[in-house]
Amino acid sequence: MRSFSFASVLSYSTSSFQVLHLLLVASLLFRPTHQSSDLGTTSKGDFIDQICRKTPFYDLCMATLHSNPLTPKPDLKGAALVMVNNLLANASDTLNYIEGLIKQTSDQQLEQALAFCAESYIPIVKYILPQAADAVSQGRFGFASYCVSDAAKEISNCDKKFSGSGQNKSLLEDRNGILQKLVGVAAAIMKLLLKG
Amino acid sequence: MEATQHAQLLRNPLLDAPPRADKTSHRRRRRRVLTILCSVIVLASVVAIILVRNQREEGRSKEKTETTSSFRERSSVPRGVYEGVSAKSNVVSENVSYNWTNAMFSWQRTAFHFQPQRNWMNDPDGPLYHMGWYHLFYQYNPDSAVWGNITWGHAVSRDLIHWLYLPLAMVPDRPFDINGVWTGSATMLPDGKIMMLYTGDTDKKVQVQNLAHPANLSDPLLLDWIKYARNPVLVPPTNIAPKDFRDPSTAWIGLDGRWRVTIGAKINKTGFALVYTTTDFIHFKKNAHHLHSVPGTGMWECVDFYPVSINGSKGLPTSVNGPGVKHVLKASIDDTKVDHYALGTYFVENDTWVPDNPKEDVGIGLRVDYGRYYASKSFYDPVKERRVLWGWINETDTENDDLKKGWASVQTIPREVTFDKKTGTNILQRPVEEIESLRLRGSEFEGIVLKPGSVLPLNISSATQLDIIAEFEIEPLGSEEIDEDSVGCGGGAIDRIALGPFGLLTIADDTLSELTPIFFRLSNSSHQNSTAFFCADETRSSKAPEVKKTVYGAEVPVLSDEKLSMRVLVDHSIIESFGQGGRRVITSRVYPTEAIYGAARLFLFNNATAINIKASLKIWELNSAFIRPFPFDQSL
Repeated sequence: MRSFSFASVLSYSTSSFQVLHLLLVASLLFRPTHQSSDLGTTSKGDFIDQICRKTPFYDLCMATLHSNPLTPKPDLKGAALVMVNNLLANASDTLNYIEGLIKQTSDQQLEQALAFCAESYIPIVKYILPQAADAVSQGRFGFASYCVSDAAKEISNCDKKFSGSGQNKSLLEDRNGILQKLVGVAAAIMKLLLKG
Repeated sequence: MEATQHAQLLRNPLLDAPPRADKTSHRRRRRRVLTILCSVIVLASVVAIILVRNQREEGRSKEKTETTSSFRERSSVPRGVYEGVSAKSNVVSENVSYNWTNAMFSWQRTAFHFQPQRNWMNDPDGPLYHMGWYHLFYQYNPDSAVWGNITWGHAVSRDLIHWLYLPLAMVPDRPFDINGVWTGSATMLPDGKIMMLYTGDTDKKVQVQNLAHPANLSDPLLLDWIKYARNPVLVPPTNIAPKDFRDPSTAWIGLDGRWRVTIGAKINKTGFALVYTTTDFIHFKKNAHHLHSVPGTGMWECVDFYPVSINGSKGLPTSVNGPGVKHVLKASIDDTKVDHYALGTYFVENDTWVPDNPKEDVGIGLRVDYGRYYASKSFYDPVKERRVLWGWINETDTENDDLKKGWASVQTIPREVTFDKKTGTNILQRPVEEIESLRLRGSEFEGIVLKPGSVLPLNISSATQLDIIAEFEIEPLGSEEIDEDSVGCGGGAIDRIALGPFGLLTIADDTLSELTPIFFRLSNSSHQNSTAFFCADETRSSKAPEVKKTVYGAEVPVLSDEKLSMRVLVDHSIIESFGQGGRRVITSRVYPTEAIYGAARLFLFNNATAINIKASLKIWELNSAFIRPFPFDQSL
């Protein structure tokens, strides 16, 4: 069964691993923004600041770009690559999480909604974002931009479809929300790239 | 024969292509004749155009029309026939054409069916899935809204619904395909390679099979294709005429590890599916036995051959065989322009196939679709594990109309194909589930009772883009059981009998001056296993006189535990109707002049005489799929 073989390859997180993942994600999100002087290179900090001002979620953008080393010369393409790879990591993590939830639940309706979300996330993780990253590296920014908006659509589909109740809904809601913000940042950086 | 087809209003003497001249000799004379006829056609068209203009200015002049039409009749032949493919045009004898406005023409463009931005399209080609994208290629004329100069158009989609146009994949630029890059199929090799076999019309007008493959397999969009330098890889065998050898299928692997490909052909009036084996798609060996043949059916185009699971509900990859598997053999019958199929057993030992029911063999039994539909081709979707079917829907207006509006033809919504476990004798088709992503507002109607002879408007805001699921129950008015002989579709929805017709009036205006009924007509009122006729009536779909308006229909089995049900996709000038869960499907083309835009309505109707009907419906308005060029340069 090819559609779920990818999922079966991903190991199911133990609860402690899950906590670790959550902490990792959280640490990326809630790190305090650095002053440019802290980095030691004023220009780099300024550069990241300039980019992030042009995205809809400044703090998120700053946190992500600061916590991932940009290639020797900080440039827009490098920033885009960082964003896309970060998106991919978070989407993979969320897919993992959804698979875990599916295993745990006995509620048929919830399971259906989760399965739908898994089907939305699998192409994102397997094709869409990896292809976006490739495209950015190769300078095919239009294609990359389209892939990013594709990813946004799929995440939004999952979000809309998922009308389950209870605490699980809010957990997925948060993750989807963060991903949508990350996508928003990535899309904005893509726009900058396309403008040249 | 199950199908009933009553062509209305217009004589179409030229739709059945005239018998082909003896090809093996008299080639030079044919060329001269061809030149003369071509000039005559041009002359006739010029005369026709002038006359149509005069008619509009002076008012209709019947005498002139009749003289001109008989002249045109004698001299013009549908496009494609001389080149050696099935007829690709409606050549209508009358020159009276409706006074179309741009608004009427624009309305005809579909919102969520695949069609190029302009010009002519026909057969779907090489459908496949690669690296996250569904690919569709299609026969395309980049220069005009009629068949000719055939290239391979190309489009991609994530979900089989939202398509993005890509640059042309292949153009006729080699001796082995200079006269047309015709229909072909893709074979996905286990190591990830993609082999595309397609028919080329050579510089000598011989039909050969060529090999092409992607220039860059790591390109998800498969933009560029490379034609094998030493094409063709297959030429017509000695016993097959050079114009009777085309449309290679997807290959499947046999017990000996060799790939098999089937290609349609004919000998005299017998249609054939030939088999060739290969290991490299370059060197082929012809099997002594053909896969199958049926006398009297004529040339088999677009042969398709694939397994279906008789126990499970998923599709199967093309090479699967074994117990629990039946094989569908399908051919597009050139002589009648109908897609036929049959279920049967594939004998892998000698690559032959035998139908379950020889009385309903390929070409003489079931149709894939009972309406306007041709050149269908399936592929296996490895992501959702389903067999997906494409079909080409030609226009039923005239070539002149197509040239005026600048485009012709659409593809169906891709259909998922499964084996009908309940009847065991046919396939089921339903639109791929991704169509549901287009659903906007939904309305539900429960238990509406309609007396005989009544029409009920359904209160929805827009009626040109719809997904309708309707169920019907009958309530006999008398106490006796009614049992009639096979009733057919009659002359359409106005033809009343005790147990029908009843159903929906689609693309109708308020005064019902234009309407397209989709309906059932029953022969008995018992609750046993029975049959019903499922019909689509185009006779009053448009006031335009030159449009072809047919009553299409098929007899459909209704099992004792089933309600009568239909699913109808309405999308401007195309209506796809699925009866009894897709047991029979009818595709219609309609070109209304009044029932367009905000004036289009949907009604429920009961024109039976002896029963009430109780209907329950779910109706969704569907969004556009916004099919557009791939946004390479823009951000979204």
